[in-house]
Amino acid sequence: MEILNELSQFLQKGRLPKVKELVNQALEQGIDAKTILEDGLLAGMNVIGEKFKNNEVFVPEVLIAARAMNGGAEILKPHLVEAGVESKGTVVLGTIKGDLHDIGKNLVKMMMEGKGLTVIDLGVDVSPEQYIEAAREHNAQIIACSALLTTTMTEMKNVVDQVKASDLNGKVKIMIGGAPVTQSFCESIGADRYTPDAASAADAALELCISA
Amino acid sequence: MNIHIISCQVFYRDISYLAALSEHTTTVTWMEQGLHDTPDILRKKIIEEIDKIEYGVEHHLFKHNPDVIVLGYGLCSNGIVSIRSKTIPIVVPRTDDCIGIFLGSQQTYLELFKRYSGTYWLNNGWIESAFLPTPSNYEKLREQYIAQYGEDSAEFLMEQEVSWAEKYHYCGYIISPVYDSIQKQNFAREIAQYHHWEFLTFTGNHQILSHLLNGIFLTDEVLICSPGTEIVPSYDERKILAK
Repeated sequence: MEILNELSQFLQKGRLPKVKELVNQALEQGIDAKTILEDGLLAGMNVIGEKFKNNEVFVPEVLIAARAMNGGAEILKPHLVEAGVESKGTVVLGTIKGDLHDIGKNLVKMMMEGKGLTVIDLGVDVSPEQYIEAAREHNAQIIACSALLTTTMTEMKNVVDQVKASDLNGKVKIMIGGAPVTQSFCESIGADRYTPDAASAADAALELCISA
Repeated sequence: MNIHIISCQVFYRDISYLAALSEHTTTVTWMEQGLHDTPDILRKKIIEEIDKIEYGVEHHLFKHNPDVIVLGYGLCSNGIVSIRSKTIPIVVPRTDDCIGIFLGSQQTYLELFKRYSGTYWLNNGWIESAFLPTPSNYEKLREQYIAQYGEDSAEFLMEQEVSWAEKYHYCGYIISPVYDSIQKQNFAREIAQYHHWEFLTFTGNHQILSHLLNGIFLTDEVLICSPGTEIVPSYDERKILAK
């Protein structure tokens, strides 16, 4: 459908007002919300995600595209609820204790929401206890921790250790990411999944929720 | 001893001063400041410099071959991970970044990091070479975003750009043991005021740099990475290992 292709194109340019306008037009044309989300918004976001992985676009382009996606998804939300499209899982997300940086974490949030996941955003400087409490309260499948600094990333081990020592052991998967975080670090602390960028984080979270 | 230093420009005044006083022969390759933001590029550039040095040794281009390569870097967003040489030992401080080096010890840095959570660090090195969160730099960035992405998206991107600064509480100004000026301190105070950060001053300490420039390599302070091994993160207080 031409309008969905157009929607994808404008999303890739991060043009929020135009994306909102086209989502409304598509609904008026009788296209169902799920198709608009998947073939318009997510299709465009997937292109941006791929380009980011290949260094063809950078953080600002991904940020404005993700904002446009969320703006469009917001309009679709009541229609998706009406059509019985349920949340695909719940993720408790936050920047690790001692770290006050949130651009990457915010991007992950937008990407995960775009995939139909419910995200409980705890903000920055989040302690292991706060992650655990929120995961328990919201019955989350995933705790996702972000860090920008090599001084703070080691705090992620405390989250892994405390989850393992709690009643959530085996019920909640722990995902980690952020500029200094690597696969070898993930293995060394026993976390379940490392992803190098926001798009991969959203893909991995969806996969983990579906298989939970 | 012949010491070849590959260093971030941020240490220009400090290393130049200490090199002048060192009993050893020193050569310094300066790298532009800010490469920690692109650690893959930082790694690539350091490896290129090491390869150049080793080529020079192999082809007898130097009057005095370096006995050791010293990196004027900390872990710096993992930018030094995987760095190696074939023939010359590499010595690198066990610190997260340059802040610990300017303060004279990683331990001091970690203590201050915990005590003053959310500190933006400044000193003359950063003021002279880094992109700083000043009103004029923000204005330039905003204009760049408007030109590239339009007014609406530019506003959103600027909100994201400044979000970290709103969560910080302090500006930690490190007074250099080599050179400092009231103008630089006042400039740092203005940045602190603009962001509503409390302005704190700390005395810089040359212990790590002085040891490096004088060939005193203490294993709890620096990693000595032997030829044929590469630098890897240790994820503990040692920061880095040779593997």
